[in-house]
Amino acid sequence: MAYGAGVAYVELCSHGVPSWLSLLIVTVVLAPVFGALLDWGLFRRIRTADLTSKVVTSLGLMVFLPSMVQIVIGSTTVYSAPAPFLSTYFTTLFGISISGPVIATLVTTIVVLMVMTLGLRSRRVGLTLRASVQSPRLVELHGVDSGKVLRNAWMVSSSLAALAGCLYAPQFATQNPSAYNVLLTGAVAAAALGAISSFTLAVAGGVLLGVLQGVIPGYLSPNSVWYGALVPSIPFFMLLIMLLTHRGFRSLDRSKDPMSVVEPPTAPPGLARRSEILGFSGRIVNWLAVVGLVIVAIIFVPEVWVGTLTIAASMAIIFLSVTLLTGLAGQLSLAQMVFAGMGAYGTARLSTHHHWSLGMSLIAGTMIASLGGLVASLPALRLRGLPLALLTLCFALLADNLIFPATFVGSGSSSIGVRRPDIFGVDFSGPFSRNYLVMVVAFLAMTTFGVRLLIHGTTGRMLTAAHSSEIAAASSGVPMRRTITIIFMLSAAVAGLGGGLYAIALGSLSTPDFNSALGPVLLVVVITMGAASVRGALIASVAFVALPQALALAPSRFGGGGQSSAITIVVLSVGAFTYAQHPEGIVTFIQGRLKVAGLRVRNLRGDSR
Amino acid sequence: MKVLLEVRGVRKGFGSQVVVDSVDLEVSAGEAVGLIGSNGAGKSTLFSIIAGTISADDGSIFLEGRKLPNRADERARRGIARTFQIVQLFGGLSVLDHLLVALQAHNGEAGVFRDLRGNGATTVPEMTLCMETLELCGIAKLAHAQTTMLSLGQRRTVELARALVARPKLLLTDEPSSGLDESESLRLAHILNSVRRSTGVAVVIVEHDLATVAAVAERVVALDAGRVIANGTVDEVIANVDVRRSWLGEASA
Repeated sequence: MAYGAGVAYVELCSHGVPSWLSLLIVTVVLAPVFGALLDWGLFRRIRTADLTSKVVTSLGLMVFLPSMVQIVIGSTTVYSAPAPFLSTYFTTLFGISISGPVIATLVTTIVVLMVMTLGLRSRRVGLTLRASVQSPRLVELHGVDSGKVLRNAWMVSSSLAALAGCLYAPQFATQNPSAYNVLLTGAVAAAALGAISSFTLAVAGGVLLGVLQGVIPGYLSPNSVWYGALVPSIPFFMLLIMLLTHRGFRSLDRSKDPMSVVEPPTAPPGLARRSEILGFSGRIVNWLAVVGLVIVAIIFVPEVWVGTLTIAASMAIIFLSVTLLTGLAGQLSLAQMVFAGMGAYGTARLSTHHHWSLGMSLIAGTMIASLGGLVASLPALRLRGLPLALLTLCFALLADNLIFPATFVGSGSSSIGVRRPDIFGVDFSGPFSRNYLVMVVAFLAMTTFGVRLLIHGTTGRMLTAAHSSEIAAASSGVPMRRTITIIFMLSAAVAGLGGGLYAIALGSLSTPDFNSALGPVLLVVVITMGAASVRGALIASVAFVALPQALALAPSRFGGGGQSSAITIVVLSVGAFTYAQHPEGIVTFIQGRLKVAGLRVRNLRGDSR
Repeated sequence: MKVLLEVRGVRKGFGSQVVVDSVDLEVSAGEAVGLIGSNGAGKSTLFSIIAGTISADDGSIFLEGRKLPNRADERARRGIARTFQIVQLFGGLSVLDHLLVALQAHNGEAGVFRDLRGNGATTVPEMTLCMETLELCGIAKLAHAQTTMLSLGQRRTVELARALVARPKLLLTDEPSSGLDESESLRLAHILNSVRRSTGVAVVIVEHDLATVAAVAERVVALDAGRVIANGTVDEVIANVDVRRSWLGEASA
């Protein structure tokens, strides 16, 4: 929201609208209207859904909106907009020179703080809002229109985010969504300090964060690795400590709505997992068709598409790690790309710089990633849902800032080369090697088989049970800690294997390849297609890799050219908005519909005879 | 009779309020014990402490003379099974799947490595035991039903079957008649008694409905303000002065 507002503000300014008027248009007109639209089109429909559905929908929005803004406005606009107020003013206070925009930001923050504190403390606004968030249906029984209250909350909240975006945007010549990620994590960390519900503490947390980020660099040499790594990581460390120590976060995913028992909870992904869409013969035909298609693709695909298919197959392995963790265990992780990155850097470093054989490098890379999974699983034993998603996002951002840029891992901002293998005299070199494609497809087939064994075996049943009622599963003897730890490690290992194969397919490796921003995209795309089955991950990976390539070839009026990646993300993330109604994902949903249509046709034929 | 469960000096407080205060309790093998008391007497907390879902501040619990580990899943694998006051079933799983989860988890035969070795399919002995348990509880016909389609009485019976499938030594059942009418409560009590006879499982039942307690329990323990105030047969406990004052609300007995 802040990013969109920032872009809108800059666009208005660049068209000659005065900065104060641009700010008013964005925060008083556009943002509230957009907030109301979001509520009407999306959040109104999931008001009584479980927290996982809300988190998935929000993540979908987080992935969808920046790409949409890029498509509509473009990412290449270079324009330094003036600050909304006092843009040229300068003064000195106690010997410190302070610019006008800083004063304007401080005054705005204090005014917002006062207004919001008074509003939230009042019985009419604050109490009604808190009650509507906790149980919209119960509030309605007392004659309050909770829909209206929550729509107003969305409008005010959008307006505040837009205000932050407008104050923030003039710092940059080019508007980039990743610059606003810092704002997001800072906001979440500040809200965490305010224990989510106290507005004053949240602002105090935000100020404390700002002070820490301003003061700490003064004690560090600008040339040290800590300067570049530690300072941007402060919000994440703060969030990490809060998530692990604050009791409220551990129970955040538990419904506090006293009316939540009046209707059955949303069907877990397991419901889709255990229902067979196809009969036995149908499944045999299905698998034969898939195997046939893969063989035909490997043998006959044009050379220019071999590289794309290889990358799609290695990405599919990374996507399957999401199926394992989210589809099977119901855990939301935004750090899967980090695990893939660990595998990729491990494989690349060991094979290229330490001259290990490819097989050993891949195994070692996979093991490094699984150790990362072990570390990530430790907080997962105490956290679920939103807190866990936030924590894994912290982990991903830490890896972005601390792990991957380190010289012993990558090569700072420059890329490192990755050696192509040569095993038993079989040549795998060259970006269009069909032999390498066969190898990656073989790994993919093995991983798919393994994940299917887990989904349809005792683990799938146990985890579906635990996903539904953890206390009942534990009381039935299900060893949750051990299972969650093993699944986390396995999932990270699968991501690491995919990452290693992906690195070899690319031939070189740089930090943006495994950027933390890709984590939410990965999760949303797999969930959209269907996290509960291997089909979802496989189709998601092919679409994710092939769609931008196909769009790049298309004429610009059909979405071709520079916006192909953004269009791909928009197309593939839109299904996350229907997660609350269809947790099984698009692929299984369509298969179900096709089966119903097939049965109808069969019945009609039967009737006509 | 051999002592199965020993609760020694168990204490639990929430903030400054002591909910379970130095409770001692013994349950013999195969015995059925009712736990009664007014709301807030501490019976559900004591029950959860025995099941391992809440940890005690002080005291120890032994099963067959061995101290129990703290976690609920470990206690379940040692032979303690439970049902819940608000029915806790697994959405998305059939009735048979409920029993398979409990059986395989209890035997330590479920897990990632079994599946990856290609042995994830249900074995014949596992299936036989599940079907026997469903028949014992009178719901064999519902084996392949989705639990969302069942009535409350059937859902409570599924919970009971899930608890019994691994042949536990001790069954903890928390207000099994809650939400059921009189005939359904008595039917459930009848199932509990027949299960006890055929499997020899000891039962601890927390219940407000005295008729159900009387139908199942041989001995009753009454709690008030976290302390045991009476221990004996149903008639003895109901006749107890303290019990009548605290639970039945009589000013003087």
